[in-house]
Amino acid sequence: MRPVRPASPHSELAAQVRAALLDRSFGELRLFGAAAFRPHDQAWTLVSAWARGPALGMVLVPASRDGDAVLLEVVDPEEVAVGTDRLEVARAGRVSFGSRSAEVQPEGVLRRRGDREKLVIGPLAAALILAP
Amino acid sequence: MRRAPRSWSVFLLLAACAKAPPPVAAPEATPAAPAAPEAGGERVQSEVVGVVLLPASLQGRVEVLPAEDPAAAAAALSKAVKEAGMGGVYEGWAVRTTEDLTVWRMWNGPDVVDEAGRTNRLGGWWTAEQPAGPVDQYRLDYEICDSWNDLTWVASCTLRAGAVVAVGPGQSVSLETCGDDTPPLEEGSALAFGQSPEHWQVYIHQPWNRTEELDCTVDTADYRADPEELSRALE
Repeated sequence: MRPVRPASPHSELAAQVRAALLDRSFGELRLFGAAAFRPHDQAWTLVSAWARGPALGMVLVPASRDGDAVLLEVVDPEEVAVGTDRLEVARAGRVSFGSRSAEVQPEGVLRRRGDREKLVIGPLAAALILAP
Repeated sequence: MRRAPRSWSVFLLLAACAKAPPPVAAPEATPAAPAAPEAGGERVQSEVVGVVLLPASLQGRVEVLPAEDPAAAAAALSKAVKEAGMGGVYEGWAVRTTEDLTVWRMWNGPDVVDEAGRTNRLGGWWTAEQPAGPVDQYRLDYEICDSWNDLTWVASCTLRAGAVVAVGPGQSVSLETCGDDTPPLEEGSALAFGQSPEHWQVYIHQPWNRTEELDCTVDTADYRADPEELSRALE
């Protein structure tokens, strides 16, 4: 049978994420250390995960189920820990959540939100933390 | 330099003592506190000792629940209490409202939506006091990073008698956690906000699922706040 999606180095990882975290809700989402929203002010539920080329893609919807789906993407994920209720990616080239993104640059992490940019110099925090 | 929280002495004047169990505390906040084994994800204290100093806004309006009370789980203290630098509260109590309680929340207003197309009128973090004073001081007092909330509108809702929520004083927030243009608390500091012992927060876990406990459907009392004095509406 032909695969549903082209092979990706992260296909197995995507399958692990689906098996462990689908329909789980998360009150904390950190991109290289920064909280994408005030922790536990909102919550998001994982409804889909897949691999495409170098990226792991995940779709989150508001836990209240009253809003649009938002894409969470991790490019070149490394050292990934998939727990029973959390996902942690130690390193990645880039992570994004909707209009927010953070990517590794030689000097540090370049954060973008909409048309705003901020270069943060210093040790790199975990590329992604998705916690209940 | 940004102003640090006021001293405890002011807080004590506003506080009342109530017999209560020890709080659930962030790990570094009470390193010597004797802790009983975990149960159901929440720390369980084996005996009721000590006092909790409730701020004036909560006095006589809530009862503190022992950690062993099964009803306390609805407060989701493990979500509210966070380690230093992570926001939330640094120690917390599960409480049940004994009368209808007005809770307040600042938000971005009806024209600003997030990635999911929603406003942030409804969320987990509230106060039992009406926002007042300058917006910059409010941001400091309640440890709110620039990118988390514009703090332009005020919403008030009613927490019905019998609702179980978490309360406690605000935890610090690091610059890394903010990850935006929020300035350091003081030059060279890794913190954007320090702990705020006299500014208590009310954490309502998953408020969108608690419409019978949190009456928040009517927004006619919402107002765009004057940034110089948040208790005042802009014309």
